[in-house]
Amino acid sequence: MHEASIANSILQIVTDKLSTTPHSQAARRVHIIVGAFRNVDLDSLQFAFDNLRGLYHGCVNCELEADMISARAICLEGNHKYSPDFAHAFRCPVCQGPIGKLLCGEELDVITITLEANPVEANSMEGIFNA
Amino acid sequence: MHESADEHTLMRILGNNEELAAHNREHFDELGLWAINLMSAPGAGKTRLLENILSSWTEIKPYVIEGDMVGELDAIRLRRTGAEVLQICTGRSCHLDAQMVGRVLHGDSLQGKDVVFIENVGNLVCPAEFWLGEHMRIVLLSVTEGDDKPIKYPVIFHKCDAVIFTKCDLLPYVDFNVATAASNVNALNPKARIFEISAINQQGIPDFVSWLKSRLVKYKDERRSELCASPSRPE
Ligand SMILES: Nc1nc2c(ncn2[C@@H]2O[C@H](COP(=O)(O)OP(=O)(O)O)[C@@H](O)[C@H]2O)c(=O)[nH]1
Ligand SMILES: [Mg+2]
Ligand SMILES: [Zn+2]
Ligand SMILES: [Zn+2]
Ligand SMILES: [Zn+2]
Repeated sequence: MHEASIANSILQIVTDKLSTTPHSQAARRVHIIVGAFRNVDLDSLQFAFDNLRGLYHGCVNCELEADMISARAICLEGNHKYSPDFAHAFRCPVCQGPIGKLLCGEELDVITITLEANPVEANSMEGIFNA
Repeated sequence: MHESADEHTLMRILGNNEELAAHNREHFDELGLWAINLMSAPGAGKTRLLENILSSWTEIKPYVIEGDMVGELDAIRLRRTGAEVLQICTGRSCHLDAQMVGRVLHGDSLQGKDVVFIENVGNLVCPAEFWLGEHMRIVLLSVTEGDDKPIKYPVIFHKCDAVIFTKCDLLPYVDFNVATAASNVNALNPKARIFEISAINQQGIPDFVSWLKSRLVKYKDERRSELCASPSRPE
């Protein structure tokens, strides 16, 4: 169950962000992208995340939002762009060539962390701060 | 309701493991240690192949890192070849990660060794996601597992340097088409070298070992030219 390792890594990134952001002590949401060419099961990841977030300071109410990025490849010899899939054994549907290069589908990144402003500062901050 | 704001960051989720793997790589290179990560489903024949390599390739000074969830059985088998073997018990974790390998590199003296074989935990899924700092990744697929496995586990077959079809002595008894399996590997990873071996009748093992030898020579040559260019030492 390496989804637990991945959930821990996400929560670590969120707590690191909180610790360098004095105007916030809690995270509301973390948005990640997961390529289809990564071995990550989104349901297992969600389950692991929900069970682990209570262990991280400021993350107890943090929601995980995960978007799957489908894979795109360029075939080895024909230079055709295509979506490699199991049904075609990952080959190019035009020339049957193998994957030359994956253009996308290997992402595994945090892209946005939504932080709550501290209640005392909320009015003066008006909720606008930049990374 | 509290105010909130989005902090846009682009952070690689496994970036921490990747940094530790890069650090391990510096140690390997500083020691002149060529590191091979062997991965497969449980029972595909990683330990058996290592026994063969270690007893037939006597010119190297090998070190073996054995990753297993529990027990020292494989380490005991491999020590019989005379090799120095360190067992990592991963406990509940189904893969080795860079930190576990880093602990070995920082704790044990690997001075005077030139090849380190890392036997990963038996699993075709998780090990693919965790770089260890290795120079080469080899995936074993035994003929009893079926020729469709590369396309069922595409990530690990896409991210490796060589694939070995093992237990080829059993081909007469199983429904495994070598050409289909090779084509499935090729679709995902046209650069991967493919070998067919049997640890029972030694088929293909000399070929595989001579390929390893040529890659080790290449590694040592590259290291020599890099050392001339920029000598540096990791912490
Ligand atoms: N018939 C046959 N059996 C093999 C071969 N290689 C390994 N085995 C057997 O397969 C089982 C698992 O092998 P092992 O090396 O422990 O696999 P590992 O879990 O990948 O390390 C053992 O009983 C081996 O003796 C082979 O080439 N042919
Ligand atoms: Mg083994
Ligand atoms: Zn796992
Ligand atoms: Zn094509
Ligand atoms: Zn170090």
